[in-house]
Amino acid sequence: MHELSFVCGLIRLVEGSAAAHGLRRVHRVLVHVGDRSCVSQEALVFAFGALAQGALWSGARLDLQTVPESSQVLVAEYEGQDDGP
Amino acid sequence: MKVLLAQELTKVNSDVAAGNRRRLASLGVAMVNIIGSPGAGKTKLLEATLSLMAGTIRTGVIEGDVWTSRDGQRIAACGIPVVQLNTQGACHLDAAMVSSALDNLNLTGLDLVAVENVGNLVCPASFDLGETRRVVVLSTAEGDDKPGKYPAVFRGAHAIVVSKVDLIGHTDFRLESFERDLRLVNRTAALFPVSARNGTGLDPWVHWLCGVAKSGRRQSVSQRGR
Repeated sequence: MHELSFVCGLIRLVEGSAAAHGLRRVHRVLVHVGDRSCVSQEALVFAFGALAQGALWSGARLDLQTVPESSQVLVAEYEGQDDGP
Repeated sequence: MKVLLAQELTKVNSDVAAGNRRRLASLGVAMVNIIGSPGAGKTKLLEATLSLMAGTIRTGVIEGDVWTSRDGQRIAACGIPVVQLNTQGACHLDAAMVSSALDNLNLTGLDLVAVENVGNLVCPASFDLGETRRVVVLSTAEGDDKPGKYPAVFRGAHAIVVSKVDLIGHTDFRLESFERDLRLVNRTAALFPVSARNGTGLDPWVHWLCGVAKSGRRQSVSQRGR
C-alpha cells in the first residue's frame, strides 16, 4: 500500500499550493500515473477517499490519467475556488 | 481557478532524501539502501559482509522491519551500531524515517550506513532515502525471471546481489537467463552471485562496498577543499 504515501504527498502538495493561492475549496485534482510506476489506480482512489478529509476537500474529485512509458506519478493540476464575494 | 503543479507525488519524500544526502556527504559518510523480498537473505548478507569489513570500514546499520527487532538484534550481536525502525505495517522505509534513524547513529565515527529496507520488491523502489548507492538482493530460490516482473526496483539499482548461490543446483535459477533479463532493464548494475553461508563470491561484493564507503570520504574531502 505505498499508494497511501503517494496520496499523503498529493495532499501536502495541494494543501500548500491552495494556501498560497488563498483557495478554500478544491473541486478536482488531476494526477498523471505512469504505466511503469507500479502504482495501483484503484488503491490511489481508495487512499484519496480515506485521506482527503476536511473543508478544503469536501466534494473533491480525483481524476487519473495513464501516461505511457513513464514511471512517474505527478499531480498535474487541480481546480479550486477562493471564498468569493 | 485552475492551478498547474506538475510535481511528483514523492516530492515531499525526495526533499527529505536530498537533506539526508547533503548531511551524509558533508560528513563523508556513504549510505547504501538494500532492497529485497522477505527471506532473500538481506540480514544474512549483512552479517557476513560486516564481519569481513570489520577493522577497515566503520559501518552503522539501519534495520527496517514491519514489527519485530529480530534483525536488529542479529546485527547488534556482531558488535555493530544499529537502529531498528518499525514501520507498524507500512511496506517501505521513507526518507523521514531514515532521517530520524540517522539522528540516533554517531555519524562522525562512521564511513558507511547500510539501510536494510522492509522485505518487498515493489514499494521501496519508489522512495529515495538519500542513499549513495542502491542494492537489490535476490535469492536463487525466488527464480531468475524477476527483473522483468519487478522492473522498477531492478532499473534503479547500482548493484544486484544474487544470494544463496549454494542452493542453485536445487532450483531452476539460471544465472545467464537472469543476466539477460536484468540487462533489458539495467545495463550497468554490478552483479554479484554470492553465498553468505559458505562465503562464495563475497570478496568482489565487499570490495565494491568498500569502494562506495571510500567514495563518501573522498567526496567530503573535496567539499571541504572548495
